[in-house]
Amino acid sequence: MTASHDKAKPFVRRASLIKPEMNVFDTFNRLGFGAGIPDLERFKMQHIMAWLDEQLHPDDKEDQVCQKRLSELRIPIRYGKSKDWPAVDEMRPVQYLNAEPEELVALTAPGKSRSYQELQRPRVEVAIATLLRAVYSRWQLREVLVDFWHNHFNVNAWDQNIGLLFPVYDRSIIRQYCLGNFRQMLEAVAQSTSMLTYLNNRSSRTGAPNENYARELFELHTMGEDAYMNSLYNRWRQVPGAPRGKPEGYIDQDVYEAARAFTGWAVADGTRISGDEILPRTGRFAYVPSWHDNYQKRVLACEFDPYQPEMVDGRKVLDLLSSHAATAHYLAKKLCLRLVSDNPSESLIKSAAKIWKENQHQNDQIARMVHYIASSPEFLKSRGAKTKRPLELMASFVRGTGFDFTPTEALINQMAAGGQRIFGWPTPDGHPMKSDYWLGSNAMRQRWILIYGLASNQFGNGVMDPIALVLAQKMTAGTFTDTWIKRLYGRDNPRLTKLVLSSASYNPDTVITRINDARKIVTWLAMAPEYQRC
Amino acid sequence: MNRRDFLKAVVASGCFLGAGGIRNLLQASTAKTSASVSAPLLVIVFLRGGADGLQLVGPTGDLYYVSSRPPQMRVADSADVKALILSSSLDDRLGFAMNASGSPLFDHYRQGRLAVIHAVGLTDATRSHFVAERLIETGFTSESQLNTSSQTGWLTRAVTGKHGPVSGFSAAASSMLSQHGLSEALAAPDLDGGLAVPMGDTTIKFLEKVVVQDNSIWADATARTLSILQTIDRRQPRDASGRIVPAGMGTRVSYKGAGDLARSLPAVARLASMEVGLSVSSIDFGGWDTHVSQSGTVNTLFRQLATGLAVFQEDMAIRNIPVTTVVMTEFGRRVRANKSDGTDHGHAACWFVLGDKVRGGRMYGQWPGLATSSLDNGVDLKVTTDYRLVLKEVIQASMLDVSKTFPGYLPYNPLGLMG
Repeated sequence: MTASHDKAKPFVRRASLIKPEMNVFDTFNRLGFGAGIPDLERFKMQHIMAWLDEQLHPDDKEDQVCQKRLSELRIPIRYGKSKDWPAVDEMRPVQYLNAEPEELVALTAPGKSRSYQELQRPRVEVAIATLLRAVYSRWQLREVLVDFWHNHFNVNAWDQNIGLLFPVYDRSIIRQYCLGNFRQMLEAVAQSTSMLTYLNNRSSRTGAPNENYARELFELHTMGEDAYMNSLYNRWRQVPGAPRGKPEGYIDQDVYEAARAFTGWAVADGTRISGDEILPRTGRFAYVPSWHDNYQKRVLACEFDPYQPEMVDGRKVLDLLSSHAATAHYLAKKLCLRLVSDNPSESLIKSAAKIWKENQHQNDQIARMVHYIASSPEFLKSRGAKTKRPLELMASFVRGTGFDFTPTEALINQMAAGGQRIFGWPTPDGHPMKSDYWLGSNAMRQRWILIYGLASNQFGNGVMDPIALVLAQKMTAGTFTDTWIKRLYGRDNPRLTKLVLSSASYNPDTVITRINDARKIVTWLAMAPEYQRC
Repeated sequence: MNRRDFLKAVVASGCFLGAGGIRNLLQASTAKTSASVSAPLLVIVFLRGGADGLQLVGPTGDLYYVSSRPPQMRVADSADVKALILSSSLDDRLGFAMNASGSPLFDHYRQGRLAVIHAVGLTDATRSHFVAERLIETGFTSESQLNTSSQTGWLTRAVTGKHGPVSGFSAAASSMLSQHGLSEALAAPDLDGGLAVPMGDTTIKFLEKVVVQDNSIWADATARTLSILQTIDRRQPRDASGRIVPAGMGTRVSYKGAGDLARSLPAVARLASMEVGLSVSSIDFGGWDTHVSQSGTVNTLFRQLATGLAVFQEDMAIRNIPVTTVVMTEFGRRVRANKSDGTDHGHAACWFVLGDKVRGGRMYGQWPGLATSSLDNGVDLKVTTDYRLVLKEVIQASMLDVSKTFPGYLPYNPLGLMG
């Protein structure tokens, strides 16, 4: 801690007494979105490893509670009339979560005009469903990984061109492969309309390819920026290992060549290719041979012969990248950053990378690495090492309190004010993973507003009655606060009880009756710094 | 007309000021004049995504320039587009001109307040947004430094020893990396909604008690937030009913037409008037990563930038607060266009510095040329001016600490950017 840091602190601190061992409650906070009462009751019967195994094999059919809530979900939609449409103001069920690309692109069919709200709807439905699943899904670890991969393969779905087909991206790619095989996932992403649009590869043509996708494929999706050696070498042969065909890193020459390899990977969007040849307007992946650069290439010291069969150039790049040691290390490090701490040890990263590499041809490659990390001694001693982002803060509070919750767009907006734009992060790197981004002065204040708003139903998410929720009609303020601390923190904390009650000017022996007092106490408990970590 | 005369004229005319406006204005001016021999506020506007300097300021008479790009991606010197020819350019034979969308900035150039630095950037060869932004914001030039050094921002190091209650401001949801490690820093997209804490003073008192109990980073963040919010919220101008008067509204100037900058720039101006010791402010202005359909996007963004900065300059002059604004970006873009009517990541960029202390009306740097043999790797504009040189001179003129900002950097050839 620096001297200037100390100077800024107006308070004298006592040392933290937190022990690093994870218990059931903490595990739910990290591998899920917080512990609810049913989880804790159910979990007592199971060993943590058995729970982990179960979580790595999720099945929606065995998640009736969440499926029922999804099917009963109604999301308001409201807009004024124009010459092309009447005014709308209704509660509407979700309709796009299982939609095929054709159905979604039909929303913008030529000659059709629809309101902004209608065109945002596919993305809004996915975002609302994501919040609902974070709170109610039995498959909590899957939801954590879905969030991880959405950030890893970030697209900005708040941009309508990308948001339109976002249900397909979420369902058929991120959810489909979040515990599966990375190489398969990588190709699915490369051929997804969302990514082809977001990183512009759909308009990349032989002669002057668009490098946007190829660059981020190396830097963000696979090998990582630590393997970018452009400032050290400007000829591919100079990269260590390259003469043996095993370069340790990549340089711009690899990016240029890879961009050529992906020319012709496009979207069936009704474009005229030449003469009478017109792509159908399906919103699906299309390979256009005449847009592809057929000549020989060299990527990562590997020679590609000219005139390869369709899509072989691009697939070969994906093979080279997904099997590279730098990719294993980068993905291992990122998952450790997500699941363990902001500073995972190099030994954990290396051993996790080894698991990744050993299982690179397995269909459950990702699940195996997650299992390895989540059962490591380092994980089991990492209590409170991560910061809850607004999504974890929101979901752990809702799960901990247990009130009947309905996600809303107002809540999504408040989470964005706290720094987390669900599916709307503008740049391809995804939300920052380390704590400092989430703990600035504005982000902290927005967290407090988030908690306050949930507790007092400011965003239309449902009424939280802290007295009814713990059956506290005749509880003293002291017992009431103890009960809620246990519920939100998973442990007793008499010192916090004392602080809360003295701040609320409450005698611990007075029976608590006023719902506003009760709400204030619960709100404060979740605003406290200790509640911001997981 | 200097700032003082201008201020008098504004007060005398009174035409676009309400009664409260005049009062505020007078207060601001009397409060500030005694102290304002002081250093100018340093404002950094970061054009995120890699702004294409060659569509902002280009050598219209250079045949290589003309042949390498379609007309809409060039600064054109033709009958239908009025070129803003820059005098005292890097090479007057090449006809350097500013994109016509930037005419409000061009006026400042003519009046000697705007300097254009071309072919500026990182000496590191990266074409990665994230690496380049991080290098610039931490004040480094080599990627190896990113892994080894403690990553404080360059602005953080520049304000060493200048700690007011709020030395730094990021007009964003989160502090910018350039202010990383600065305790006395505020981040907020704007100040208009106020900075109140839910349930007010009772919550503040509770949290202040709680943070005494633990020394975690979460408690630190809580304590710091409470202190900063209270400092600022007390100073916000309010109307008769106690509501905060939105920055940039109902007062002296209008930020209309400045795009996203219409939210951030007035927030900076307001905070600077609060006398909370503000030394540096950072603003993001994104959307410059133009891999597709570039020309319209860049023209629109540049128009918003030029409009916003010109209004901000005027706003700050009325407030009688000296300011230096640096417009930077992580890199420029490829000289040749791609087939999506866009450009890919390049190398050297074009930066701007605006302010009364700037020796403006001139271009700075050396023009490396656009012949293939003169390009970096045969494709990109070469960096001939290390970005740190620009920042070093600006820091000195802002009376900030240059010794710790760029350790080990000893330039031998100053630009002479600041008067």
